[in-house]
Amino acid sequence: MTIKQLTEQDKAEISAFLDAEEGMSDLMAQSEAGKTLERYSLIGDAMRADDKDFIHLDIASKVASQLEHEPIFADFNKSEKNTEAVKEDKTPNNVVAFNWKKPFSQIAIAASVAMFAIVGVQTVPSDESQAIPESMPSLQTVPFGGMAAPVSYSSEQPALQNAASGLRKLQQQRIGALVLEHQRQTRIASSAKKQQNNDLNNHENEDAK
Amino acid sequence: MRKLTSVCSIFLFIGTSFVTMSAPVYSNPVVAQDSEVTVQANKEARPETAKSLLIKMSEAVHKNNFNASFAVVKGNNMEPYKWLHGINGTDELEHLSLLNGAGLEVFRVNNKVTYFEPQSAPYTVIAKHISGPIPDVLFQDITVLEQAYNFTLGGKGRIAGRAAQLVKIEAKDESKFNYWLWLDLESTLLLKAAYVNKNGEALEQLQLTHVSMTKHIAPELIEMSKKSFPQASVEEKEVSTGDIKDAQGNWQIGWLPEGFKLLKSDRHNLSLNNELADYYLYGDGLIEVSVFVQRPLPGKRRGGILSSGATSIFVHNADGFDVSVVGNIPGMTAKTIAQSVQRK
Repeated sequence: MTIKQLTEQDKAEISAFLDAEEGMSDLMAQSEAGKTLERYSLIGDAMRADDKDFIHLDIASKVASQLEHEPIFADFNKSEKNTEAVKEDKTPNNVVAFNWKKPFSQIAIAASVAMFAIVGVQTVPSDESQAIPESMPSLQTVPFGGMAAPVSYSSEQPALQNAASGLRKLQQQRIGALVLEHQRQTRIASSAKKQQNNDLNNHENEDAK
Repeated sequence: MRKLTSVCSIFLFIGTSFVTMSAPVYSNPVVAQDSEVTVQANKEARPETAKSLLIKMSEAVHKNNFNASFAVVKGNNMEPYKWLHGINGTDELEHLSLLNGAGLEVFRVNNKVTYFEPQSAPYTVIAKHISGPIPDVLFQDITVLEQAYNFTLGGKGRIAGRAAQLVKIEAKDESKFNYWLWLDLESTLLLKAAYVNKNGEALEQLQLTHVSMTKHIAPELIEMSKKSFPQASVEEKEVSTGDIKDAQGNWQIGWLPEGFKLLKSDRHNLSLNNELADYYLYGDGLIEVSVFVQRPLPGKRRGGILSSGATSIFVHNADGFDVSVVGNIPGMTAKTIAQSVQRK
């Protein structure tokens, strides 16, 4: 089977395998299919990586190249006799564990390593996103502080939603209005006060001169 | 020439202070007792008091062209700001911008400050300073604070990559927060500031992440000053201290922390939800506290404290009216104020 003969159905199978929906089929043992597998794992990496650092570890080919140098125990490309000869001659101390074709075993191991890598990437951000305990009943996160107060315009929407759960909407609106009013009145009233102070200061400065 | 020697002495001073100081800068309680502690490590330099440093800072903020970024951290929230200041001929121009969310833009041309906020129409007030995350008293005559606060020197440290001197504005009683400032030893510009409670814990911090002094004013500022801004509203200019006390005869506020004076009092509708409130604004120079007396909300009511950074809100459900206190004060202080309000 060549790459050209790889049908949409085959590709769907590979994709399903990578998403751990299905086991591996014989098709994936083919080396051409292996390249498709690699591409799909790349696509998977890209999709799962979100906006984190883009991670594509070409583990499949690395493991494959490692396996290239491993002794071959069950090679069905050769005749039965040759296979037996290999077993007896070169690796008498190893056990023949697999009845698969060589490319298949390589890809199977490579793919499983790749999946671990992906899982590892996934778990890190998901832990972080859950690390916001909102048990404080004192509504610490109502985002009224600073300057841009009101509720719906806040830059801290998630925090607000957490905090909002404890307060009735009406009261929250009122508090938002109070905080905004406090800021506004502070600006206005302090300016009136400052004017007087500045006048005083100017007089003092003139006197000093 | 004088400048050169002072720069040298600053370096000398940093050198000696690194050798002599082993304790971390923030937690050095010994230094902070006397309001007139002076810098003694370097005998060549004229000794700076906390007060003289603060005065220098308020001058430095006005004289320089600078471009700074800072972040205000309140608990696990952070608000980043951009701050531009420049002198264009005789005009002083300033721009403060909140960079997250819908934002906030404040422009100042000399004594006209215009606030652009997402939730209300832009408005201009006559003021020499932007009223923002930095208490604006720090940009002018800080001696008005002496009644309620002590100025003390803390240790030295490295803030935003520069050698910094800690100056503490400490409340004379526990009903208010302390305000700590870290000033650049070279330029006396503000590098960091924090509201600190009586246990020495920072509740709200402001930290410069970058500041650059430039020889020429930023072109954006000149561009900005050519725009037309809303006129300063007339009604607010009418506020005079004379008739404040007569404006409100409904409520008696039984207790306030030392040093607070009535700045304003009236009855008006809140700008956001148009709710009517009897309003009192008190200030001690550094911070302001608002007291609102309103009709109670329908249904089951719940009072209590809210806080974010240094800001506290206490909602008190009295008999037939709600009192809300808002300001950068400890929650207990807000509670005591709110519960002291009585019908006359």
